[in-house]
Amino acid sequence: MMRVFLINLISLGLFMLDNKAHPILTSTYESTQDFIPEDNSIYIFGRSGEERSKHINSVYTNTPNVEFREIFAEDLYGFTSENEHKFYLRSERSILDFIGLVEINQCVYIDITGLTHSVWARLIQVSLNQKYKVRVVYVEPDQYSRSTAPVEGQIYDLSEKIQGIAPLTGFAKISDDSEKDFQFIPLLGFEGTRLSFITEQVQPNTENIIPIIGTPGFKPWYVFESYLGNRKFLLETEAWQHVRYAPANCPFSCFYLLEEIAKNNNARRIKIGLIGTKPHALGAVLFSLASESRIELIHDHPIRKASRTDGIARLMVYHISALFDGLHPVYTVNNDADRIKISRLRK
Amino acid sequence: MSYSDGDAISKINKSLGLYKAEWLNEAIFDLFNEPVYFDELKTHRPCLLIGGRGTGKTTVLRGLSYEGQYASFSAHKKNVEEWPFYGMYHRVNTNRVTAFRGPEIDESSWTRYFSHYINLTFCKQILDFVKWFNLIAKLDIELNKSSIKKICLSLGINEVDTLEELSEELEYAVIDFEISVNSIIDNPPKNLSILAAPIDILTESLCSLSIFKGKQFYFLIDEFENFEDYQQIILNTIIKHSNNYYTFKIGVRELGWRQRGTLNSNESLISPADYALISISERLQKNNFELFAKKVIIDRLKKEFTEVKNECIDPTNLLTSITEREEAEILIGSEDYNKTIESLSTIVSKKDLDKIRSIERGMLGFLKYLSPDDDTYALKEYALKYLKEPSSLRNEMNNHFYAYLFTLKKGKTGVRKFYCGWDVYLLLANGNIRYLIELVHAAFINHIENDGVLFEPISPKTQTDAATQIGKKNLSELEGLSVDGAKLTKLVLSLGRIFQVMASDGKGHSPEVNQFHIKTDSIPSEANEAVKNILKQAVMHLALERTPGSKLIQSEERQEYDYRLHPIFSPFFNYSHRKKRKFPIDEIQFINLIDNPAPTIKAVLKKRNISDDESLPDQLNLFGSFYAG
Repeated sequence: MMRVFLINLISLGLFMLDNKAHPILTSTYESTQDFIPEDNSIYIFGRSGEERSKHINSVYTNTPNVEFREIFAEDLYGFTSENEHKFYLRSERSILDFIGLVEINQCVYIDITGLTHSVWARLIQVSLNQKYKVRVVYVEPDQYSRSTAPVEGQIYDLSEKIQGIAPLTGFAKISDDSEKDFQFIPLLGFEGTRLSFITEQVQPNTENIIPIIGTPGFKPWYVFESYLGNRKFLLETEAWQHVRYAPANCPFSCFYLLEEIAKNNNARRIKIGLIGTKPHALGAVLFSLASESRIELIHDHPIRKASRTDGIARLMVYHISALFDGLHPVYTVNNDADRIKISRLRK
Repeated sequence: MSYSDGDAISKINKSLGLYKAEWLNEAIFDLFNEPVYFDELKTHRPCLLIGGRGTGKTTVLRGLSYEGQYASFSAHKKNVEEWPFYGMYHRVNTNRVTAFRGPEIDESSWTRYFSHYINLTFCKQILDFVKWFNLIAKLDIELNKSSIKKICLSLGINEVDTLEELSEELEYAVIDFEISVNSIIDNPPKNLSILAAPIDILTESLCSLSIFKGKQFYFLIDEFENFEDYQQIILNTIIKHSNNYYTFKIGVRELGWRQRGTLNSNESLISPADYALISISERLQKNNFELFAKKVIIDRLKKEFTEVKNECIDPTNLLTSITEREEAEILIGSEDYNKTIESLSTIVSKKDLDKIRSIERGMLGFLKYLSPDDDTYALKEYALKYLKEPSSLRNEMNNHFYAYLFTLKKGKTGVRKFYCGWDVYLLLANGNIRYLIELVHAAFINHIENDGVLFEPISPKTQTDAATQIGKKNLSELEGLSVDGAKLTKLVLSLGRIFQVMASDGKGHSPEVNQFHIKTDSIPSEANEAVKNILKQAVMHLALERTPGSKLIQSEERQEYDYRLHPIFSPFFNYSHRKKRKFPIDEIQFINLIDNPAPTIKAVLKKRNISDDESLPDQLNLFGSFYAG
């Protein structure tokens, strides 16, 4: 069973972007078993140890006509393949070597569920630069392990949770940073301490902070966890007054929202803190590839724990190439291509 | 003029609520107060400004920048052509500098790339300044073609004719370089410049123009600790070898300057030969800090409350203090007092008892505190001695009265000890201007919220609550300050509890123990390294303060430094904020205060014959599970 998932949240219209006019280029599968990659496609994935990244086993068995490329031993700068061959993220050649020969119209699936940000973001960047037909696969967890939003009095150990701030490899910005007039857009998760840590480094002007919270979340109450976990930051900076929302599992909504914020605030520079969900981070990565503004992505490279999430919920396939290909949008809300203007070829 | 509570709170928030220089942006220049060491920075030499978070480094460095100087000068001094120096502020951005690392290429290549980055960045800053200068001075400064050609050649960029074109070309070069850095294996940067060469040529060429003759450019580098180690070495090299046309003013946290070497392995940076070291905490000793802090607070309030007279907003008047004797009167409970009188009544005559009743309650409590094992006969002796000649107990008063205050509310709820008065607030802030502003801000807000009238004296209780609140705030901020923040939080919680129990159980023990020193094993061990690392982090992030050790107690003890919790935490835990006595702690125990707190706290206290079964003060209940182990 496959359907195009269209999210309509008019009731939250004030804070949430009205997506009626924007294509949500997403196929949603209620069960991971229902998903079958296109014949003759390439499927790139990694296993994080989380329950949800195990969905790949069923994909494996169901689809004999797919070339699988598994990623092992990721770090900030590279990864290894099955035969322990090392690939470097700062080399486009190395990544293309890993992906292998891609025929015209052959679909490249990048399953971000079990991969770290630095690896999947760079894979997507390189694939899009090659104009491959890229689809991103993401499996929602059934639940995050309890107490992911640390309450006051609990001590949150960053050294067990993050590797520290460094650019996503391939996305480094080194141009002059002396200006203060940037917009800071943290994509919030539950972990307020990670946000504090990033904020300490970014030092945004408190008036220029627009946090984005994922709602609806994977569970209805997650919005409260986000507020709870980030309470201190939101109060201290008064950024609670500027919070915006985008569905937690929808990179496109996040993308459009970022676009709207950038436009409305006339910001010459934007720094986006990647703390929240992977689909949101994907939205930000796509936005940084598409936008003409100077976008800097800030990430603290969390250390993944197998027990972080539990279970498997829905599987989503994001047809991201369509954002960069105005001629053949994969799915649109209506077919008025002129009005939608989704062509965002990289300059 | 009177203000509604809402108005008052909003004005107080505006003037004192923005205590981070980073949050102030342009307002930073309006609110800038020159600290005593400011003129020492305006020299031709490199300076290293060392200070913890919140000591004002950013404010000072931004104050030295050309934008800061321009904003702070009064109109008649705005003649920028006459300034002796032009400062360019640069904050080291972690997300930038960490782009220059990775295992794909070796460190010598990273060194060449990063040197090029420094050249591009600093040259761009100078050109931005020239643009600004032209605009302000209504000039059109230009270099001759030969100079520009030399600069282009040294930077490895396309040749251009004018400074404006050079600036533009530099921007392109940065974009090009950015692409290379992102694909460093396939597309390594070409035409790399030699460290500092373009900066040398550009500054020399500019200073050869009559308008800049005898002038100097300052690179004001903030958060130097954010550089990677090898990058610090690169910067050290230019600092050591900069020409006369430019110099460096560096802001760094204590212990954040990890590398002293230069790219020439035989050379390192030495003070005072190569640079002037300015330690903010040393320069802002008590009087200097007090004057500076008072001026900062009054000036900030005056910005919002323009019509209010200085004496009405003088923090020394508003933050009322109480004497130790008054405090004892407030803290001592009538139940304790009545019990003492009752026990005395069994052994003294009615006449003597009446006399004893004339002694203040708090003072009688102190006399009981002095009596070994609460012995009533000893108490009687002390009381009669005191009645006969109060000054005969002067020594005891000096040594023990303050420590006694911490024992009065042992195990009870509510305020256990007062932290109030301008002098106490100064000691809590310990030379840290951000902490002081936070304290005063919280006191004002709590005062108004408790129906106090704006600019009328703030009660000791309100001030104490504010101090507790700020201690807690800074404790909770620790975990997000560094990757090792959780360890620092645990360390502070453990040490805080130890000092708190020692304070409330002070009777019969040395008074006001609030420092420690580490006993080291003579053989270097894993614990040794771990301890060093934690101490370094703790000092850098203001969890601990270190002072050079006083005396050698035992030969195997490392006496390099004594440590104490930053006094800002003392009201949260309830122990003395005054730097007093110390106790030894061994390395394993120190590590276990973080890794295994509950039993270690118990063990440390037991060694001093103190039990830790006393209930937690109200504010520590939040961390009940931490202390329960």
